[in-house]
Amino acid sequence: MSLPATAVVAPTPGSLDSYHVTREPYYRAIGDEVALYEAAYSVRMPIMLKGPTGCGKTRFVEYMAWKLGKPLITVACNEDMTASDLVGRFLLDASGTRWQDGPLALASRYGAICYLDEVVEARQDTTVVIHPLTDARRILPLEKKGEIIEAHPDFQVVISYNPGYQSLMKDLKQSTKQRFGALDFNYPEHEVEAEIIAHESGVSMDVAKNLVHIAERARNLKGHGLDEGISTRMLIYAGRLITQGVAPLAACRVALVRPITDDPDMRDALDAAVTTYF
Amino acid sequence: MAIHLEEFQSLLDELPGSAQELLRASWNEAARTLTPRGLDNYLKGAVALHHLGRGEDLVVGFIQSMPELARGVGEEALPDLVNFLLGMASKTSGHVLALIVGTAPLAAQRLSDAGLFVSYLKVLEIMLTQAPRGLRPMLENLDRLLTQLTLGGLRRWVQWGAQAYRSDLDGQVAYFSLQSADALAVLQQERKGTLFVDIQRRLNIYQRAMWGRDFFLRPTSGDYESREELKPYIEHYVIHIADAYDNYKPLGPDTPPEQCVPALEIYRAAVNHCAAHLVFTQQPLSMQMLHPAQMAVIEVFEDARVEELSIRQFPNMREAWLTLHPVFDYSREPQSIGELLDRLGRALLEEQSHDPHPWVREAVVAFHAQTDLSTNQTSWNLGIDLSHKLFELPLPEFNNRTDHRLSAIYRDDNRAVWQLEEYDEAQALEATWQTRQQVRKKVSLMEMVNEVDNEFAGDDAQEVWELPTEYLFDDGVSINELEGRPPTSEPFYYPEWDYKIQLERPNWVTVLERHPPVGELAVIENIIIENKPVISRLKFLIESIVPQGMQRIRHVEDGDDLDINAAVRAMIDIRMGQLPDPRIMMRHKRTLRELAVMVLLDMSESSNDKVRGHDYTIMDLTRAATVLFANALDRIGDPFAIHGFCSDGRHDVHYHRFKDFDQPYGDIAKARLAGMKGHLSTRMGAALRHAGHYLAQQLKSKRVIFVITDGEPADNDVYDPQYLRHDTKHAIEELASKGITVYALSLDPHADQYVSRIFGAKNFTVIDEVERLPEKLPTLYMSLTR
Ligand SMILES: Nc1ncnc2c1ncn2[C@@H]1O[C@H](COP(=O)(O)OP(=O)(O)OP(=O)(O)O)[C@@H](O)[C@H]1O
Ligand SMILES: [Mg+2]
Repeated sequence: MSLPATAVVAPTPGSLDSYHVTREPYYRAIGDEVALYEAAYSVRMPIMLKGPTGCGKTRFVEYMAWKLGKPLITVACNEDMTASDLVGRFLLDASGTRWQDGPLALASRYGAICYLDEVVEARQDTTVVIHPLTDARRILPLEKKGEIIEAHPDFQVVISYNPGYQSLMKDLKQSTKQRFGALDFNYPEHEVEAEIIAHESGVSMDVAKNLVHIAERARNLKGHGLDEGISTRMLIYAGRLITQGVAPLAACRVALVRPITDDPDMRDALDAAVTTYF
Repeated sequence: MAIHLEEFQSLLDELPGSAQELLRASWNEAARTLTPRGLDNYLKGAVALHHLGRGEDLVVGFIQSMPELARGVGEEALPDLVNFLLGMASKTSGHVLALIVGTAPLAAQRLSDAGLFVSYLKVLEIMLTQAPRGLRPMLENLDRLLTQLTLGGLRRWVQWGAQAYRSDLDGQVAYFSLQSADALAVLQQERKGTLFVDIQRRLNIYQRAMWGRDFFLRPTSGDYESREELKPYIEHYVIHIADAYDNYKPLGPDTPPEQCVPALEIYRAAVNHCAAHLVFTQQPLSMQMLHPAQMAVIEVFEDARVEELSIRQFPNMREAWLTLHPVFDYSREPQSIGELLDRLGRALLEEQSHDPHPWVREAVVAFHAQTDLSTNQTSWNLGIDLSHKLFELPLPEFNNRTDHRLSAIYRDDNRAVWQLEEYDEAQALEATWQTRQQVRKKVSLMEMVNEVDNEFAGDDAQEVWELPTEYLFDDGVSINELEGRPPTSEPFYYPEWDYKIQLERPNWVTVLERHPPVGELAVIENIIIENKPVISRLKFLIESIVPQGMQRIRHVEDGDDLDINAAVRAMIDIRMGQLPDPRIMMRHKRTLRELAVMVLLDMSESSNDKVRGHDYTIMDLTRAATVLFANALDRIGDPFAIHGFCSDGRHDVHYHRFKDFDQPYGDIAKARLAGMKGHLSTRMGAALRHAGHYLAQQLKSKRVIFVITDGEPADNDVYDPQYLRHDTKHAIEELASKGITVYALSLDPHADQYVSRIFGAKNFTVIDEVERLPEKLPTLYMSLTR
């Protein structure tokens, strides 16, 4: 989570300027997700983006925020996160205590899209603070401050959720899930994924296609020893190393195989799969 | 059921005193390892060896080593060994026979396969007949030899020495004790390559990655007679592949090391080639009306076709396969059709073939002109076409057996290209592990009376009907009483891991829950009284475990609440014009023991053994330990369950729930613990899966199964000692992926590496002082979960 250096004390117009996505992010639409998202936003439906890690969820939200011209506040959720981390808290300064809005308060007060990345990582008692914002009430009570924020008309909550990765322990409550519309994400089609990799890393289409082939080999092993397949993000890293002049075999080893498994047999099998392409 | 030594009294009486004594001392171990039939063979074998009159050493050694041999390769090997010894007795001394017996467990452990062990005995037979003087030094070096050689390698090494020193007795001794240079040289040359068992997992992962599906791989010991016959083959959808490969030397024996192809690459090439056959063939071809040479040509095209299709998916496979094809001297005219076919094989695989032979060129052009490679009909057409032209060449007639010597080693023998004479549906089904679910129906009394043809069907019947009320025979005895079986639960089916095929057999094991019998509560109270000192020591430990609840972390800049004291201090500083300490907040941290524990007790027959030097049994100790542990858990407040298991074959794994997570640890649970009895066998994997099923429902972040066991997994319908070990290990890995940790406390005084191999290096303790289990268990738990 990154907050602006100067804390917000009173509503000042334009205080979310730094959260605006100024340049068009590169996003290659996969299906009708852009239109669906626009429709959901027009009725301010909270949205859940489901999909494996590194398949373009974050990029998609950035792109949509840019397209809709709304500021975007992103929070990476984790286990230690408390409700105060989202809502805000009192801090001390030379003239006494002062309230500092958390990212959720900021977004709902001034009208931003608030993206809670990997929301299951947060404990359930933290997650419930979004409940009043994501039903018909659209309010955020700041108990400690004694204030109730009525959400700005532009405000929307987006969460991301990786259905494959969760353990039995971590799951969203039904009452949370049922507040959201959901868009399914997955690794793109072979050609499309190659196109994205070529664009983002600068490798040729041929190299990009080979990288995708390799990823498909690893994705075959998901659930058979691998918890996750190789993501688009990893392929882009590998591609960038190759653009930097690293030999493809070494690049794949460093960016694809070593990171996803410590199992020597698995590494060996994947290294061998890499050599069928490079 | 316990087998007592006394049941074999008459056999026992025939043995000398020292042997009887040894048998008595080691009976428990033997009875645990061997089935009743195995025990019978064991004693009869000992008696037979005694009657040989070759000294007590042989008999005593036999009694000592056989349980270990059985653990290594299964008890079926016992009679084989006895027959071998009896047959060899006339050829050698009692001392050498004793040495063979003494080293048998070592051989068993290294070979870990009953079939290979029998072959090993054959090698010893060669030694005895051809180089008897060498046998003793060889057995003394057996460990080293079997570490470096496959069985085939050992045999060739033996044969070399036996030939070379046929009449030179000193030479024999020097060779077989590894003293002579040529012994070491041959050893080096025969050194085993890469063993299939060592890389089986890698291959499985690899082929799943590549092809997105599993293939069945099985090793064959093709290198037994000579190193050449290593061709893989596909039969009934199973890929059979050599049990060891050496690195491939494309330029013959003098190939520089950097040009050698590692054995693992040969394995991969072979698996890929066979997989390509399986993936790209819908229907095998009919061999009717075909001449052997025609078939051979068709096969070359068929290999090329499936490889070409694979290369379209995996470009570099071309190179990987090509390096394993022999290189030809094109200036030489081919001498046989076989040679020409091998050249064609290479040419079809090459992207750009330079083979000048007109027939080869024509075939290559014809192959590349094909637009549709999707069916093997293409290969058939091409093969028929080109074999006509082949017959016009001035070459000797094709001989299927001798003509085809040089072909690439990774290629299978292509028997699967052709239709079997008859299609065996049963076998095809077996390869897909079709599951046959037992049907259980609740039925009415009338249906039961009218329809049932066998009231006492086993658990493997196709349908089992259940009557919700008792079924009474005319004389008023209920069917359950008659059977004497306690009521059981609905069956739970679990898969089992077959390490030989590296696949799960679905719904292989049936777990039936039974009501645990209750015993006297006084038993439990006595345990508490007897262990007073231990309990008070534990109390201290229990109290030191972090209390649950909120913890305040003060002195943070960024927290959940103001820390008033710090805030006041800061205000004073501000008023005095000093810089305040900004760390005036406090953070709340919830410390929860997010933990659920399952205690899983092994209640097999062996738990009735007395603890050495005491008059109480392992079961008594396990019970005491469980009671103290339960007390501790109850105090700490971690949710826990106590379950137990034993097994009577794969259709009947007994499962007892003494205490469940949602039940209090009260009189009922205690009475059940008091009534706990040991019998039957130890099918641990199934029990772990079932325990995991209950534990998985506990929404805690840490979930642990503590297994308390006195032996290794075994069951009365399993003769391969490796099988259940592998299955248990597999079950543990599965549970780990569900976030459940399995921790084992082994009470087996003979526990060796098998425990760590099954449970993983960090997840077990072998309790050496079994007497202290009651104290160890809770202490261990607390230190593990702190
Ligand atoms: N459809 C797409 N268009 C453009 N870029 C994409 C697309 N899909 C993936 N990417 C690329 O993949 C990278 C990883 O995607 P992103 O960071 O959005 O993943 P994510 O799904 O949010 O992962 P996580 O769940 O780990 O946060 C992006 O930086 C982007 O370069
Ligand atoms: Mg073939």
